[in-house]
Amino acid sequence: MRSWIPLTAVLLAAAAKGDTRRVLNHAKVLAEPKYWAKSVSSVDRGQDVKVLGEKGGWIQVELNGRKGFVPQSAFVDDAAGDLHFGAEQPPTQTASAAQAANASRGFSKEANAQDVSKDHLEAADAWIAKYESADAHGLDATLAAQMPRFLADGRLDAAAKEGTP
Amino acid sequence: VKRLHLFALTTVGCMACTTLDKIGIKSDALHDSPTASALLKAARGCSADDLKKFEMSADNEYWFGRSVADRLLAPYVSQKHVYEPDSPAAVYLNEVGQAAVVGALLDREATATSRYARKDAVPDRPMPGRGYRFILVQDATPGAWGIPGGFVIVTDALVQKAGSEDQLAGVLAHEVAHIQRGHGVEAVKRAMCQDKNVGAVVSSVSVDVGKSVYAALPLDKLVDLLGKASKNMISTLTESGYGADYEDEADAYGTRYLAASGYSALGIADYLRRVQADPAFTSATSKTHPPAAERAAKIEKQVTAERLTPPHSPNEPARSKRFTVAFGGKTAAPAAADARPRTN
Repeated sequence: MRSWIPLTAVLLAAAAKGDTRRVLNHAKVLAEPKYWAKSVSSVDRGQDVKVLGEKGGWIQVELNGRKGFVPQSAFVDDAAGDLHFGAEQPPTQTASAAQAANASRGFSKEANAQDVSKDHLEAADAWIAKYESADAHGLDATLAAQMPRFLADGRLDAAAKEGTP
Repeated sequence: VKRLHLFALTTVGCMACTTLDKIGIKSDALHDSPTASALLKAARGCSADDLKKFEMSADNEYWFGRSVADRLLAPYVSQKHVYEPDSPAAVYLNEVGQAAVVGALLDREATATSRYARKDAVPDRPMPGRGYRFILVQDATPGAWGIPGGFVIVTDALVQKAGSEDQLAGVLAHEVAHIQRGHGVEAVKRAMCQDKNVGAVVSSVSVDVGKSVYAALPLDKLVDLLGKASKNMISTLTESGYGADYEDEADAYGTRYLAASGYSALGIADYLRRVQADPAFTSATSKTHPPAAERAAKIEKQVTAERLTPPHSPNEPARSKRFTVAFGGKTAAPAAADARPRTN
């Protein structure tokens, strides 16, 4: 099965300690190297951040005097070109931000005519935004508060230690 | 508060067809081009350079995956069948899912130091920059979908068929493995590479060697291309599946993630053994996955061969207690007066 799968050029840009690196993909900046840690900020493509260290799949960065951790994906160069579409990034081509966002979300004319209506898609997207909300009472806040105890109570020791020095 | 009434199972094997039909979407629209899975099986003529033209960055993957998740979620939203993210069941699902994700991270670290050598032709996808989301929907048909970008959508019928937290973790680890191993992204790349219409569009623009076509395409073409790819991904996820090879790989990696996180290494296998004779599960997965018993046997062999520990965790009973509370007990299910999850 493997023979037909090509090697893709996914290269992790070197992230040496003390270097300033340019962010290639959006990422949440987390207080600890854990996905459920409190989000302190976020970084976007094109931003320069200071790299303080690396452990496992996490890179410690400093941005505007604040320290935090981002997943390695923030610095992965995959040769995907300059178009990084999405609502959080202005398009590099001559088009409105809405057009670029719709492209990324698949809101094509064809989709509107034959498939799920735009209203339905937008309603669904609002739900995803809700699941991603960093609201004080949202899922992120709940996980940040509960995950340590969840892992400890379940004696998931290996998972609990992940990311710790 | 009572246990959800989710076992009034339909005889329809295709959840997506059922739910999409309910909001008036033509099922035929899902069949207007070959599915990614079919193309995978017949993949010929796509060189590594050809495929590279359709490579996605982590951001591309996130937004593409979000579009797919939008489509999959839309029928549930219109019927108010999505659990609130702060509902106890959704929070619990995300806690178990996050533990499985840690297993994926640990597995990457372990393989980096040659715990067992990987010989994968395709490297793992980068861990999603925004993390993983496990979205719980109400559906009488068992189903779970690992979507590029870190989105996992799970039906509560599937969850309730699990016998323990470790088995639920197994289901989620399998979906995480689909995402981390890039099965969706690879399927899209191959589908685009094989599509003659896409080829015509791509050949009309100049693409630098080693770069993807996305930046070179006019925006209207890009919109059509991604819209179609997103739609076809739904067909792949719900009708044809990622293919037997990718399902086996997701089982194998999911099993390693479980062991790495401290869950029972046999979590996926035990779930499959539990549902292998269940007509609802078989009906829902027969077209998209190899038979459950066959998959379980492969995993059991793997756990022995790779000496993955613990096969069964001594802590499983303690975890199962909270699993029972979250999905079968008296504190987590929606109120009796409102058995359906609220949508806002």
